[in-house]
Amino acid sequence: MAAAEGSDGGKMIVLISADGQRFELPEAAAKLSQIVLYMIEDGCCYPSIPLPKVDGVILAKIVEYCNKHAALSSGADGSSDAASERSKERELKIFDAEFIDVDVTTLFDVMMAANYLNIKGLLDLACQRTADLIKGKSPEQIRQTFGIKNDFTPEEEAAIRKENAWAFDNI
Amino acid sequence: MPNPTVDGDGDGRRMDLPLGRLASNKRSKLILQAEDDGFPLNDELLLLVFAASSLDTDDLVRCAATCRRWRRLVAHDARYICRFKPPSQRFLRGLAVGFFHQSHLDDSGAPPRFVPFPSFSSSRCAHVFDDDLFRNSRLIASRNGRLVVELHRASRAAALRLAVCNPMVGDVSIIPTLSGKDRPGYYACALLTAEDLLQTADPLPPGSTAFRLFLIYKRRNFTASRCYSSDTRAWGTEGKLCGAAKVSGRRLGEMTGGVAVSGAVFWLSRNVVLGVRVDTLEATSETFPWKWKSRLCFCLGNPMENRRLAVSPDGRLCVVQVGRPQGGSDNPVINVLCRSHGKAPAKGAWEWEKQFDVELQRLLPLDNVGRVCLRGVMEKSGVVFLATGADRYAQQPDLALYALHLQKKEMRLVPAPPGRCCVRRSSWSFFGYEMDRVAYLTSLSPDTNA
Repeated sequence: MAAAEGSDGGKMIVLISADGQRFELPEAAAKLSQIVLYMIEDGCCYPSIPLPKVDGVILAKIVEYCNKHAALSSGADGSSDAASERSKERELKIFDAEFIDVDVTTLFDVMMAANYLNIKGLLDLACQRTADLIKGKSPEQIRQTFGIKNDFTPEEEAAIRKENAWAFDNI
Repeated sequence: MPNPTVDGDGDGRRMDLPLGRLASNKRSKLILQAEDDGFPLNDELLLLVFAASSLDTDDLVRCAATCRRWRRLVAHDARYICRFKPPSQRFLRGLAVGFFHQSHLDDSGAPPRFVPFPSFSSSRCAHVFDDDLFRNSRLIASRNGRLVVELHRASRAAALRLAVCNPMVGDVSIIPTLSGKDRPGYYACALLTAEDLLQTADPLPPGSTAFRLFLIYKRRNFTASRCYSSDTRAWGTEGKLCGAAKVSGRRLGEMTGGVAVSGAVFWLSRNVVLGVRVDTLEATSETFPWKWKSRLCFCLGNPMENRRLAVSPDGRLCVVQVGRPQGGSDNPVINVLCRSHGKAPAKGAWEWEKQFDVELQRLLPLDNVGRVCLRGVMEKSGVVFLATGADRYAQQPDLALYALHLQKKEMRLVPAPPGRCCVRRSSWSFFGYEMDRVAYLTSLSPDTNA
């Protein structure tokens, strides 16, 4: 087997993006993806796992997310008292908020990749971020934010607004 | 109705696949031809976004107004989207669609009749009680999109037969009869849905259409309870309320449908609030501490009828009452009071605080008005029904019926059924009706309003 050993002795997994870029990450981080986890369990992860649906730029983001989350949730240093748990949680929260503060195109690419790789935490994060971009906006503002084409007829749109006027009260 | 738990690829590994892709494929041929929104996310992911907890019902309505595909997803997969959503943090005015009314004064046995608001254009709800089954029935509660009806007793003493219906979807569940030694005498009921039971030991599956019907009634030496569950289609065994709450059987029979807050059900009887935890059957009673110049209505021969329980959008038990302000002016006012947050006080009473008042003088004509009667409070939409009459003791018919939106302080005249305050509870009933939010979002579909 060609399993690489990481610097700390843990196994390393190699992911290959659609455009052929190589990403090496610890097994614990790679396992955050259910798909990769099953491949590891089935022993078909060596020498590398090709991910033909994920672009290199996006895979770099995904690897960054997995590394951070695996490192902070491992608790391998044995100091898993309540205070350090809380500070780790806080650190992850700050990391997540900065991580997902990206343009809409990247956000959707990350969401689609997280869905494909089945990384639940990241998928939830991306969905929540998208929901936050929708919250409190008018339909016109939502369309502008996401570049959505309005395919209603003017009559249809007027009817929806009229019948549901309460939902447009404070917009 | 689609089943909310679906395995994605057959081997059970992908547990969290939303319904959207599976459910919408079936209808895609009909609907998809006109959709062209240029939005990169597929239906499955978009549904996950809509289901995110930060989007409230009004956000979802505006999503549905964005483009055709979004409207289709919000309307067709409303139940999936709302599956884990916390209750709305504000009143949803749009949920209120009208009221059900019934009078037994003429012995015709006529079933409850739906009177829609002028703004509600759909013909739904109008025919829900057309079946002969509902002759001589009595409407006893309306909550979160559902109605509870006591069906005609063949022999008055022998059995209790109840039905629960959701008129928006035309769904009627006949509850198994309680007869013989299982029959309760006077009873109070409460209809509970999935979101009411989240904080109990025995919740319903999230987002399901299932419900429970909770009854309390008197036995010779104790107060008993029994719960029907629609997922097992059976009554549970009889339980015994524990705690200090004392209430007479007759009072139980007078209490209208209970409201649910954090796993407990509350009923109001005059100025006593009776609370029962649904899982532990721990009962409490407290005297509502507010001084009240109430004498504005003598429905049922009793000025206390002008006060109802409700739930505030932030999930607190509240009381809505019509009275006159303490001291000063004589103009009628609606007080909304909320019980404080947190756990039960170790000793003494819960604290109640005034949320806001609505002065009626500016909102409706009060010339020649001798009584103002609170007819109903709808807790999700924040709509209150008020009837006015010329004489305090209601010998004459009502002058008018109004629907007041508590938050917007907006009063609308609504078509009133002929009538006046009732003398006996069994002779008359009036219940506001509001849809649940799944029914509301479903109604956004262009093909459901046809």
